[in-house]
Amino acid sequence: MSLLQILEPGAATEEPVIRRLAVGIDLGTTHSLVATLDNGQVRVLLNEAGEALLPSVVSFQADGRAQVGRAAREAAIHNPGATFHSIKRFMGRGTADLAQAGPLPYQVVEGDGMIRFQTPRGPLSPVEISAEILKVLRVRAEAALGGPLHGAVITVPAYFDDGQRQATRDAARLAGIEVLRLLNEPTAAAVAYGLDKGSEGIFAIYDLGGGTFDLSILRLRQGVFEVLATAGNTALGGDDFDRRLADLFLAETGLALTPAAYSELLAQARRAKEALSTVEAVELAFDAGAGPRPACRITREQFAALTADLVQKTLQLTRRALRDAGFTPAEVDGVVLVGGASRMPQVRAAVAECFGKPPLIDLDPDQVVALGAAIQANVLAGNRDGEDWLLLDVIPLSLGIETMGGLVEKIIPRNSTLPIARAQDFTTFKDGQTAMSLHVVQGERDLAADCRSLARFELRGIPPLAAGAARIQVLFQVDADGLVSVSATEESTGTGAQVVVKPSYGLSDEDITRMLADSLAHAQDDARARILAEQKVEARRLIEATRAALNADGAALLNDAEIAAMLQAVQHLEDSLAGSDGEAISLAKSALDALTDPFAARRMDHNIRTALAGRRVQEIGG
Amino acid sequence: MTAMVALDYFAVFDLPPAFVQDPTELERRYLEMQTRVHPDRHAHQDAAQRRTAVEQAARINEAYRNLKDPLARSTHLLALRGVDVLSAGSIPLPADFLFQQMRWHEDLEAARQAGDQDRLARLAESLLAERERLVQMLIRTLDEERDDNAAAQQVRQLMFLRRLIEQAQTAIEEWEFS
Repeated sequence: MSLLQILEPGAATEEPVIRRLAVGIDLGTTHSLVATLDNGQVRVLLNEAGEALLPSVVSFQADGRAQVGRAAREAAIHNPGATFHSIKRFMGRGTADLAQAGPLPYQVVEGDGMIRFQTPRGPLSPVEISAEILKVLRVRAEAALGGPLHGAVITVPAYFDDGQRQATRDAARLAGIEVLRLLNEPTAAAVAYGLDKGSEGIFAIYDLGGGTFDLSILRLRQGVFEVLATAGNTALGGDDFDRRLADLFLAETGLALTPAAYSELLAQARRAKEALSTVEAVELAFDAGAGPRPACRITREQFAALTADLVQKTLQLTRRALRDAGFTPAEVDGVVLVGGASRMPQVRAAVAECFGKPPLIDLDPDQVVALGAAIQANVLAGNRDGEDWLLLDVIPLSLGIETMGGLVEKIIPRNSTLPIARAQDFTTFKDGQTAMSLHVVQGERDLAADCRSLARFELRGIPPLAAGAARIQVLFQVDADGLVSVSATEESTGTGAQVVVKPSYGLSDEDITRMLADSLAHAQDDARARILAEQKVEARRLIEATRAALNADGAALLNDAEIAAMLQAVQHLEDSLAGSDGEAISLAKSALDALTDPFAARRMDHNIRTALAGRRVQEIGG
Repeated sequence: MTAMVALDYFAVFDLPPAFVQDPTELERRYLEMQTRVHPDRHAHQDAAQRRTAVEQAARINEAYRNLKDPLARSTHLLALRGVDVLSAGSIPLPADFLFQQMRWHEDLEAARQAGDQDRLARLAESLLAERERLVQMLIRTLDEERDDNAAAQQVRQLMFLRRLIEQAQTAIEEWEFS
């Protein structure tokens, strides 16, 4: 006999699909964006003014409040010392790195080697300043999507080292954002293009942003995006082109500027650079105040010659990435341009010549990274809409350990596919040695001093053996975000030292916890202030409406005593608005509400009757 | 030590332990497995499952890296057969190879000093040709004759060659970057 098949109760009915709100955030050097995917459409989220790009500028007012974006950029003129541009350049960096940044209008707070700038809110790290930008994007996203964010994919330059990645993740945590993944910018761009076109093949992503340059070689096939190689420079970008223009201007006009005036000149230079993408020549001028207005004329050709070495640097890195990936420029099927600075005609021409084909420019180079990040955020949040693809990314810089004589022993070569777990055995140098200090570095140079120091830690309790007899296994792990952790074990005794690599200039977990607590306290103050402001707006609206109603129908529907009581309640509420006692406002408003509600009912009644009367007249007349 | 040998990278992909491998098939299996275990596929699950995914994906990456490259693949194959190529000094190299290697080094240094790009390119080409010759020899010694000692010598030579090729490429790169 055959068995009857019985469905499990409820198995046939579809479970309600809960969409988790996830966004992609491009935290850029000059501007930042947030994008999301809904109904299969990926779109950039706009602010109230309809703008997609949030200038990555943070300005602190005297009371410590932060302004972000266009408002902060405008504040820069009056408040240059507390207005931060291109803060991304300092993420995960130490004070020793400041020298190469050029003249800065900020006051640096000396300390433990970590960069902190003096602001009206006290000394702040680049992580805390970046968190202000992310907070604005979070609020924008939550307003647009109508609910709290589940999480975000935040993009970083592919060439960011561990310290810079940790700093980015910490900034997101401070902004109250759950990081679903740190995604390399070029990979995000490839996702945006790849899904759009459904194409297969070898792609080069040429990403020239405000402060960084990346070139990545990716292979797209069978639904897998595989990063084959990446090369770049975290201190080369559009800002350098601005500086060339500004310096040319200073050389031609012989002006000497204060750091603050220089940063204003840089802003002018940026506008001149942008204009040169569409016109053949521009005049770069600077308002020095009352006196004459020095200016100099620059042609597109001059600008190209002035910056040829910068473009050349990007092409050298391009060739290195191609060699690492094992391809020639001709074998590349498509070249994608990313980053506002890739709009410069001399850059486009150089890229086209290098690959022997015109680059793809279908998607807005300012938006393409955020769009790709949004697509990946949707996947990681578990909202998969039938797409079935996978990103395989790589570690951009080699990881190693400092050995005898300050040399680096590479453990994980650059461009290894993530995630990675790799063990390496080390041994003791002296008889009876019981401790070993390990210095983890990241970079391509042979000397540890020339690489970036990630962490130092000590393994103690090694059994005293003859030199070379102990076996110390060091395990390097790199997760899918490109974040590093290292542990060491003495194999004969099992003595272990677990070390999560904390970047030399990073924030500790305690720092983050304290900052979060501080910002929550601020958030409570902010929330109270917002509620009070909303109450006042509502009360004023009620006062206006009551007065209008009294004028229209008061005489017809109310007696003198009722009118007097209502006017008294209005006056009472107006008095309460002068103060900031939310409770008093709330009470006065309720009192007025109690009087206006029956009045409103009577007016409604009256209006209906009038309307019916009117119609009856018409009906009779018709 | 033993910990490094314990894992059979061929077994990870369910492939026979042999030097000759079909790169397309290896890649197909790698991508198929990665598609299933990668942490991105488990991002919305609990912490324990996510950790497992990272470990599994890292293991598959490590196995693929070791099988994809002829030098790493031959080293691993010999390790599985109990021959440790990495412990230097245990495997003597033929004198003529050592002599040839010295000549290559001198050639590289001279070309580098002179900034002679053509000479560097010619050197890189002959090094790559030599590498290919050794790979062909390994097919015979490892898979056909099973002469592990001869294979170990060839693998050691490959290691020297790899370093030389890297140095030649760095020299070419240095010139391009200057």
